[in-house]
Amino acid sequence: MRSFLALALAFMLAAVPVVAHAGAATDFSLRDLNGTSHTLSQYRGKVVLVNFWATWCGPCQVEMPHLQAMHAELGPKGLVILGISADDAKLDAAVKPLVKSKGLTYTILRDPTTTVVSQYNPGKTLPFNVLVARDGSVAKVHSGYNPGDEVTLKAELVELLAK
Amino acid sequence: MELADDPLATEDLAPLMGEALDLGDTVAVPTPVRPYDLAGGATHGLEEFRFRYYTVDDRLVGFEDNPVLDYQEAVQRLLVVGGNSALTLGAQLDAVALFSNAYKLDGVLTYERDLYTGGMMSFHPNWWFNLEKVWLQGRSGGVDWTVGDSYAAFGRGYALNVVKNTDIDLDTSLRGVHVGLSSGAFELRLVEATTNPQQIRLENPNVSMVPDYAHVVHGVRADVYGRVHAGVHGTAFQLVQGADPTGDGWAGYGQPVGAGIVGGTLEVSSLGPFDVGLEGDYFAYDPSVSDSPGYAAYGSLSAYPGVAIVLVEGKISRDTEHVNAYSALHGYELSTGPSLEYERVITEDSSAAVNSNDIKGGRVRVDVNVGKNGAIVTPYVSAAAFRDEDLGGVHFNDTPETIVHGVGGAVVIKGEFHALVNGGYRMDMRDDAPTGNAGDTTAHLDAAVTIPLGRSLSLELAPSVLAYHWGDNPIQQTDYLDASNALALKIGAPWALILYTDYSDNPLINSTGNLTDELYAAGELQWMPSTATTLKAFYGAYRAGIRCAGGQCRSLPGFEGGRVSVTSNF
Repeated sequence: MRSFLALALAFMLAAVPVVAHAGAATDFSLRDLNGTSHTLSQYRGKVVLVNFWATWCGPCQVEMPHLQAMHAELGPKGLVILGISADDAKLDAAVKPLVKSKGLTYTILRDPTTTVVSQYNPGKTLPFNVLVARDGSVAKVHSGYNPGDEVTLKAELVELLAK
Repeated sequence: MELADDPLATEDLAPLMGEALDLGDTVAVPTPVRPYDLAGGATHGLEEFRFRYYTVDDRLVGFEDNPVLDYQEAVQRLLVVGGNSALTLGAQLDAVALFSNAYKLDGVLTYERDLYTGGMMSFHPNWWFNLEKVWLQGRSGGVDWTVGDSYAAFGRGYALNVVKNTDIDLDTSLRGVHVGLSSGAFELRLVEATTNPQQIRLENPNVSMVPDYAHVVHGVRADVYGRVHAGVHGTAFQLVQGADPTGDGWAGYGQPVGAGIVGGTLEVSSLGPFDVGLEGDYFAYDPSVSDSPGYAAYGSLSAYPGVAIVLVEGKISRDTEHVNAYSALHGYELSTGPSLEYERVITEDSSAAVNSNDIKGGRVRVDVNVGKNGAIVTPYVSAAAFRDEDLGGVHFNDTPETIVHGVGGAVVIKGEFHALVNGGYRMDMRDDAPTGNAGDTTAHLDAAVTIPLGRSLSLELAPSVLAYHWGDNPIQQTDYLDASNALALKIGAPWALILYTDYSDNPLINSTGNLTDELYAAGELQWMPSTATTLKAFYGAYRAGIRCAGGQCRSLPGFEGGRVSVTSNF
């Protein structure tokens, strides 16, 4: 019993999150739905919201109108939203119709190989938001979407835009 | 169409693309990259922990009142990614331990649940550590490269599709070298690797683990991007067909090339009112894998007339599945193409893939935007009709079938209220079925609804029900009903209380309920102390079954007991 408790304690301690380092977000290069290449680094100087989603993810669809509203309101102030579709290659045909059906005008990128997902969101939780400050550092991450989360998200973006 | 109205245009790069521009202008023009300071690196990652207490119904003879077979399992996953704009180093270390997994009676071992089997090395019989993933990735100019674990997909996935799908506890990577060369609109990608399936399962029991079977993958893909995006690819697989007693990961290089695939894709954006996608692939096999070659062709066409969005897909495939014959034994696939199925009603075929083999037919889906005043209201209808000539194996049919499937539903989002509803009816008609009973039928309905209650409270429901009826079928079995619901009360941002209920009278599933044989119930408390961290405590049971995510499916076991979990992105 004692060894069991020791082992369980060791696991629990190991589960305490490691302290994160502030620093530049890892760069990536992905193509949008028209084939144009985008890198994260090209948006340095702007506040970037990297939003991971998929066509089969219900909460992602619920979050999208809120992101679109933020894009319309905060885009002129320096916000760039990169919506990264983590859909598998075989679901490629469904991506553009969903973007059209939601009337999204922010940039949609494709990551069919889950390469960038693996770097930023290795658990592949969807939706998943990464807020990147003007200096290129990761300011915040949000895992999942619950009603009302958009209020917090927008407040954080406004704060980053003010810096 | 004005560029500003183009939902696919980007704010910053709009002058470089758009439907109003000439073809030549749609070709990618690299924006000058301003790399970050090399000294300004970052580290982030994922920390996950699970502790599960398994309640086991079985009893040892003579100990019917004593649950000595209950056991506990702890799983730890730490994934760290660090680097800067030029280099990234990543690693994922998993660990699992079993507790109370052996029972001794008067000092004599009576029962033991093994964590792993022969061929795997560990310092302790009930512990296993595994460096699941490790990679070094570099970027410079038009070159990106990865040494170690990476993921790859060519075209629509027929030739190669090895990606992360942790929603169903599936994460197979390619361990080797992956190089991409790009110059303007041109891109060349090379893969030389062995498959590296995730050994330790985070959400499911780890018992009797076996060594990896590392198949060898050679792949090349060339693309030209623009409004017309064309690509060609080729892959070759050296398949480990028998047990690899060494587990050293190199056995595949001693095997013959079991399967080779060559193909090409063509995507045309804004061809008049249409977007068009085409793919064709040819599958060649070593006789030890299959006597007959295979082929696949897939096409999609989408159009956006007025408030409607129309998507038409067609496919034909024959003998494409043999490339996955050996990897599927271990729950993953090397090649998966588009399916015509609605994945939430998968009731047959390989548990590792959506029904997609030896299929010819098509599907059309029409969505209509009718929302007003800020609301999104998008009803849709979808109809699929196809021939399924995949026979035998885990398939329930031994003659060809004609399948028709109609699905309809809607997405409604207004403020904090949202509802996603899907319902349909599927008929599966055998060629040799006598008249009078049309065929196997499936009626299904699923939904996800969020109702705001005010004061930071909201109620979420996620009901689903599926009724399966067997038609004329020589392997007639019992009709069954599957149903489930998740009822969640969200209390502000950090708290959620969830009640799960499952029902199934399907005799084929390998689990029994905790309330009755058919009825399962469970409760979970979730706490999010920050937006990146979630803690959960779960007690109860859920049923076994095929679960799908993103077009991939896996047969997963049920669970009864309690568990706590911690997930933290940092």
